[in-house]
Amino acid sequence: MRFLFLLLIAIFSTPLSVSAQGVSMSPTRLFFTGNPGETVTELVTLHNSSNKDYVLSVNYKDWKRELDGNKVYFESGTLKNSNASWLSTLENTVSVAAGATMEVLVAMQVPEEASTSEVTNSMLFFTQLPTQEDKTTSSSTGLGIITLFEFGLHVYYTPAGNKLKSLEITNIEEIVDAASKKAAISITNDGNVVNDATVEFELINTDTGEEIKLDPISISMMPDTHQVVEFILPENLAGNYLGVTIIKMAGTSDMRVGEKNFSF
Amino acid sequence: MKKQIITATLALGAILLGTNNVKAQNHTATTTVNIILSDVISIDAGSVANGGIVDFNYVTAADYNSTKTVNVPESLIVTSTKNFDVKVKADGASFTDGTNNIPVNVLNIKAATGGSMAGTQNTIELSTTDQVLIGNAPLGSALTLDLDYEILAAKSSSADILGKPAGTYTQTVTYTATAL
Repeated sequence: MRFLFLLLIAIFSTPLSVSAQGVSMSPTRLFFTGNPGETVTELVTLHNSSNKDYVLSVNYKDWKRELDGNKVYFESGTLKNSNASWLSTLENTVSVAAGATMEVLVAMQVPEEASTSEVTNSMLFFTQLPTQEDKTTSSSTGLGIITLFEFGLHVYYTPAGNKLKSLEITNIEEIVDAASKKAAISITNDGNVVNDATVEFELINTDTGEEIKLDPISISMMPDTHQVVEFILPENLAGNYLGVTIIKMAGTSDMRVGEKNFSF
Repeated sequence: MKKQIITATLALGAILLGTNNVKAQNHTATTTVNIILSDVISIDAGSVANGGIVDFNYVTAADYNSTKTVNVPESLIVTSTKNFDVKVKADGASFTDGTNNIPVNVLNIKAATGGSMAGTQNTIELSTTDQVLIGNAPLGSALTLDLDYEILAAKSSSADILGKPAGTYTQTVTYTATAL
């Protein structure tokens, strides 16, 4: 009888115990807007669903994207459009106990002399600090690698008057290297806000009508930046194709379409 | 005992079927259901790349003359509502025992086959600079990344490692997850 009840308890409790055991950060990007001289705030929620306590340090870096979209970090305050020095939190470290949720207030003091047209950015990091336990549980001889985690939180400031969401396709070309053939789509953000978009690419055989759709690629671009999105083309293509790219911008039904003929 | 089992089975049946026996009511009411979604990114605390330790032991001559690989399944488990990338960096230029140093570039980190995390996967030679381990990974829930930590024989048989005083040389490696 006891066994039966234990079985019933096991059956009903199992789905409840399957849940993520991690540390989460929400949101993943902060968008501030306001006028020069104003102080604006946003909340970030950190949740620790594990059974271990964590202490995270708060630190900032500048960053920008390379042409392929990769983010590159720099010391805070070194890039022209950095807003790292405008940011502050009440504490430099955040303790998130096992099972706890912490809200971190991020304040941005927009300087009086801030541009009323330029978008600025930085990255706020929550970096796990190692405990003594982490440092002392390594092996007796050899190399010991202590692994920690870190979240990067995008921080953007958009002047109140900036509303223009626009991308432009500036070039479509074929790139052939030893490993593969690619279609490279050059895109410029000619608007004045951060623009999230999905870039699609398909090839249409102009003789047979056959369509080949490639997996779309997500991008996020700052104003006045350029990015090249590369699609690896299928092997063994032969014939004449029309390459069509469609850029769908988030938050609007507006899209951009570009075409180019390819001969393989 | 048999009677008790029958009673328990009937009770279980009643629980499972109970929802079908709710009588319809003559009242109607409308309820607004708001589903409020926020962007979130998480790293599983159960994963090894989270306060975990990866050890390479060099004991025999053969150890120094061979490439060593430590495979760590599910090194990172990430849930993200947006595409994301994972970068990796060492917090110092060397593994150190407090006195002696081994440069961190003896270590390669690469995505092993088997995980569910997609995106552009790179093999990196560890340094203090942020390097892309996984680029533009598609969003998803509980995405796993298996990692291979590798020290090539060319490194372990060189003066970088060979000839160093016995001891434990440690360094912190940090994995950074950010939205695209």
